Amino acid sequence: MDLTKLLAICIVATALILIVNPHRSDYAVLISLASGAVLLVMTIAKIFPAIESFKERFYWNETAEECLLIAVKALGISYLSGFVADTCRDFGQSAMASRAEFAGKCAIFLLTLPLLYRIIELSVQIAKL
Amino acid sequence: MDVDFIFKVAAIGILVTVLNQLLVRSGREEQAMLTTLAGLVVVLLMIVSAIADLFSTVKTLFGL
Repeated sequence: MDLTKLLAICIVATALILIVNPHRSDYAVLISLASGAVLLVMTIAKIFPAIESFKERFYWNETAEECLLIAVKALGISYLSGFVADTCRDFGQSAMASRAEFAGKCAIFLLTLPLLYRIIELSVQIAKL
Repeated sequence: MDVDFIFKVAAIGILVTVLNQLLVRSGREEQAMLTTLAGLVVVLLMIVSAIADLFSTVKTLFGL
């Protein structure tokens, strides 16, 4: 799945959306969602082998692997919430878009709390030295 | 989850639009509205299953 095919699909989907939009804007939303889903799956299929090989390289160090897992999860969360937020904003629902983004930010924040605790503990230990 | 999925949804959209215009011009507004609703339901079901696939794929791949 090379890049040019992906970009071609984006252009064709945009053209289709613009054809349907003036008559039935609800179908435009659905076409946008459908093409967004297809493209997202394609890009994930391209990214993921790299992430897998990256994970194997870090198995020797416990904390590094854990941090890497959190980073990959944050990437997934931002990927999804960005997809939903952009689709909503495309069709004028900026309120819904900001809700989706805020939910994504909260999820990522919850994800990184354990790291924050560890940093604080480390700094306290260092201060005690 | 392939390219022709987009074209399927677009084809239904355009078809329903044409049918709607046809029925409205021939004076059958209710059937036009029903056809639009039927098309919308079909497309929504397809979209929901596709989005569900997408979300489950992302969840499993990113380990969410």
